[in-house]
Parts: sequence; structure tokens; C-alpha cells
Amino acid sequence: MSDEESKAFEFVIGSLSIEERAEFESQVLSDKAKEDDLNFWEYHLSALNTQSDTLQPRAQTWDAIKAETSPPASSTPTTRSSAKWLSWLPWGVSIAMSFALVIALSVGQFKLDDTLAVPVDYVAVLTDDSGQAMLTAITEGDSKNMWLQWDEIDLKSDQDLQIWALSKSDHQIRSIAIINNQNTQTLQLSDAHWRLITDAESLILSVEESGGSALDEPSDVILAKGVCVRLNRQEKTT
Amino acid sequence: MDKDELYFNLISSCALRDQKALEKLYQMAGPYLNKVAFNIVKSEDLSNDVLQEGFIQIWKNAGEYRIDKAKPITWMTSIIRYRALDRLAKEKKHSDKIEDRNVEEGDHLDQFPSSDRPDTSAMKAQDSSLLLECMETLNDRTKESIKLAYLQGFTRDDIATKFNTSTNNVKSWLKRGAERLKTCIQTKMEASV
Repeated sequence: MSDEESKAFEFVIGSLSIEERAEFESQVLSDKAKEDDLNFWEYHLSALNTQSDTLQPRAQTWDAIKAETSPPASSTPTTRSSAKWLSWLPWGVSIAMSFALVIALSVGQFKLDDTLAVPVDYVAVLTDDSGQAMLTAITEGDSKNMWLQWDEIDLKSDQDLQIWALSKSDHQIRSIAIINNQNTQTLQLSDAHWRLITDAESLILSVEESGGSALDEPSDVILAKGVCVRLNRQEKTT
Repeated sequence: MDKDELYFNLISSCALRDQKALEKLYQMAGPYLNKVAFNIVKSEDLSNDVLQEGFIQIWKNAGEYRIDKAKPITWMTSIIRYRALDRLAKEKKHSDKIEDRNVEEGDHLDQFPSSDRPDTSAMKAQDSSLLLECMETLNDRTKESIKLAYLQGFTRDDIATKFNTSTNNVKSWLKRGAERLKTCIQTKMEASV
């Protein structure tokens, strides 16, 4: 084991000097081998701790955390009921387009362009109120990638697009991503956002001020909406 | 739903800015994480500060958590430990306390888990116990050095002071200890496949 390899071990146990810690922290961001070593030692050395060994925190500690993590006073709740949107879009059009795409996918893998064949787990075709497809979103679970195919959308320079998921389980609407460039073709989803997709009844595309919705809810400018359809593995691979 | 899954769901909810989930996570893991911090910073004032900073980081970074990289409790423990180590360095009190620590009544590694004090928590996976088994293959000096660093935040210099040796010697002990542990863990993992 080289000095460099043992750095991950010493970083985790905490015996490095301040300078060495800072150096390792910067290196690990761009070095997959170091990151793997770090994860290895964090995992195995955690056995030295005993979870039954506890010390009750002071009451004011939670109060301070709560204050730090609370939304700004001017903000409204982070989710809103879906009832307002349920009657908005021509559901028949959206459902029909999504299932048409599912049929297309079952014949062969979807191609976003000439070179990229995309495996899929979930697909949603987001249409406007006239039934025009504005965005096709395809999500794959292994990589947690979401591929986006856009129709032309006119945006002002101080506006962004935002994709939202409407939950099947609690009918709340939550943000998936803020898009400031329609050239964006892929998004890397976090585990949390992937779970939103798996629970999504539909996806919504809204126009927001630059930086996304300040209220964590869609603006009144809803561009498109479409049901989120899950494909089974057979459909994915045939 | 096992504890890992529950923690994972709560962290996922935190990523969606669900403060109730953070509160539940805090109620479940806070006392353990506070103890982890306390073992390093040796002060309830500081451990509560560390816990506060750590949970705010958990809240902010929840969206980046990947369960394929680390178990939820490992991820949270790492955040708290690194914050505690940072605080220890910042306070610059540690080295002044080394001698005091050595003579403090009851401040012995026997207080901390070892292979003859198995953790009964359901969270402990079989793999985790490999480390404890492999620790037993190390000599007492190296084993104690690793525990002092990991559990109490001792630096190489602190360990050298405790054992009345040079910092370079401690560096060698830790390096050889890491080599032996890694080989032992990997051998046992391969054997169990």
C-alpha cells in the first residue's frame, strides 16, 4: 500500500494534519479510486461505533436546526394540491400520445438522435392544451438519467422552465428540475428525484422566473403536462 | 421496513425539503450521532454545535446521497465525524488536553466497542463485523492507535505523545495497520462469496 493509498484510511480515522485533510478532500472530488477507498474505509470502520451508545442532545439544538432549515417566512408550503391542475389538460391526448410512444418503444429502442439509443423505464409525453407535444421525457432507472426531447419553446431571457412531478400517492406536486437551456438533453437525477418519477402520475412543465419557482410550486404559466407511463423490462429490451 | 430503508426514505424526503422528515431523522439518529461527536470533541457544548452543523449539512446534501455508495447511517456518521474533527482542529484545545486525557479516570478504550463487545444493533451488517475480526489481527499498539484516532479524534502527533514515540513511527503503524486490515477484510469477503 502506497502513502497515497493509506491517505484514505488516515482521512477516515482522522489522523491526518489539517493541510493533508484539505489536500485529500480536493483530490477525492476528481479521483474515483480515492473515492472508492474512502467509501471502503467509511463503511468498514463504522463498525467501531456502537449505535446503542447515545447521548441525548440538548433541546435547543433541534430548535437551532429547525430555524436554519425552515423556509423563508414569505414562502408558502413547498407542495400544493393537484386539484387545480387536474382539469387543465386534455388528458385523453396526453395519455394517447404516451401510449403511442410506448408502442413505438416496444418495437425498437427510442432514438433521440441518430447515434444515441436510450433504454427506458418511464416515459411521459408532455402536451400543451392543443395536444401539441412540447417535451418528451424518458427516464432510465439503472443510471437515473432523464433524457429530454424538446419542441420549440419561446422563453424570455429572465425565464426558466421547470419540470414537476405529480405524485400518485399523495397528489402533491414536487420539483424535478429547473431547465435554463432547451439544449439540455439529459439530467442526472438524485435518488430522491428518481423516487419522485417512480411515484409520478404525470409530469408538468411550467415557465418560471430565472432560477426556478421561488415558492416551490408551479407558476400559473403551465406549458404542458403528460401522464408518466412505466415500461416493463420486456418493453424496454425488445 | 428495516432501519436502513427508513433512514433512506427520510433522507429522500429531506431532499424534497420535508422538515418533518428531518425532525424524525434527528429523533432517531441524533442521540447516537451526538455521542459520536462527543467522543471526539469531549464537550457537550461542542458536540451539540457539531450535531447542529451536521444536520444542516445532511439537510443541504440530502439530494446528493446515494445508497449505492454508503449506508444511510454510515453517510450521516461520516458527516458528523468530519465536522467534529474540523471543530476539534479549530478549537485547538486537543493537544492541551492530551495529558489530562491520559490520566482521566475511566477514559480508557475499554469504554469503546471492540471485538469482545459485539454491537447488537440490527443495523450492523455481517460485513461490518469483518473489521472487528480483522482488528484482532493487529498488535495492541496499532489497534489502540486506530481506535484513538477514529473514536477520539487523536492526530498522529497526539498518538505519538501518548506512546512517547515519533510521529513518523505512528504514521508507519497506521499505514501497516491499514494494509493488514484491507488484506484481511478482502480475504474474508472473498471467502464468504
